[in-house]
Amino acid sequence: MNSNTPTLADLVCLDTIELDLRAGDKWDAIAELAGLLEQESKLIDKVSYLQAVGERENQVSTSVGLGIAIPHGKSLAVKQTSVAIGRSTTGIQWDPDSPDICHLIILLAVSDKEADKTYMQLLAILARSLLDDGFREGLMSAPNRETLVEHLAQIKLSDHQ
Amino acid sequence: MERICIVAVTSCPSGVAHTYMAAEALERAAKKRNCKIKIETQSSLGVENEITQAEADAADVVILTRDIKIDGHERFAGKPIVTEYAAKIIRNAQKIIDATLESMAALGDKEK
Repeated sequence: MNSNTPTLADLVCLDTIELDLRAGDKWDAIAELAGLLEQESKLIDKVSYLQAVGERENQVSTSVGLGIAIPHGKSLAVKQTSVAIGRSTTGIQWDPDSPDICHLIILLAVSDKEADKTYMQLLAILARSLLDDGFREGLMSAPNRETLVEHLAQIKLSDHQ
Repeated sequence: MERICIVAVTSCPSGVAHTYMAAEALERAAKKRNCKIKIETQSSLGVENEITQAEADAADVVILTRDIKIDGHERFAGKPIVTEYAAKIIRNAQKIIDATLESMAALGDKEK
């Protein structure tokens, strides 16, 4: 992280972004994105991280309307607080009993370590920013991963303190 | 007409995402109706933007998420309180604000 000006881009890396998810349902999508976090060494233990995500998801669905779902898990199995972002062109019906179709899936991996406080603040700002039509549209329409990261980099921690 | 003054507290089970999305949704919806609003978040980061007793006393109405217990509930004793799940607030913030304002107006009419 660039300690001078942390931005939302610090939560991701290019390889935790997938612009064309293969998954056809929510659990596959979560697993696919968790796989990216694992490859980038953001997780200590993918299985127990996924368990935390599943427990949270089963409490209350994380589909929030607007074509977005934000599944998340807070777990000791997370090495570093990070985010994986997936887009689905066809869309994923998030819950069998709800009409919500999700095109943007943002998987949050949250470590409870005090050292990750800055990342936690960035997650809070990311969650707020998703209510902004322009920001959401930027993530949805970015032609490639680099452009998507540029959209994230425009949102700075310092502007929200 | 005097601006309606709302205070709200948002919170959710993991305190990571819904707390903030609900806060943002309420803020946007309230501003659209020219209401004053202050929103406290209770999350993994602790309590932010804390509502003081004086601010609670000055509020016309209180909106609270009902996903988990809110700390400091006693600040709002005697106030009209609207409670709703964070996920519903994220989806329907404008409806919730508008319904709240309508019921405040109805209440005001009765008192006249």
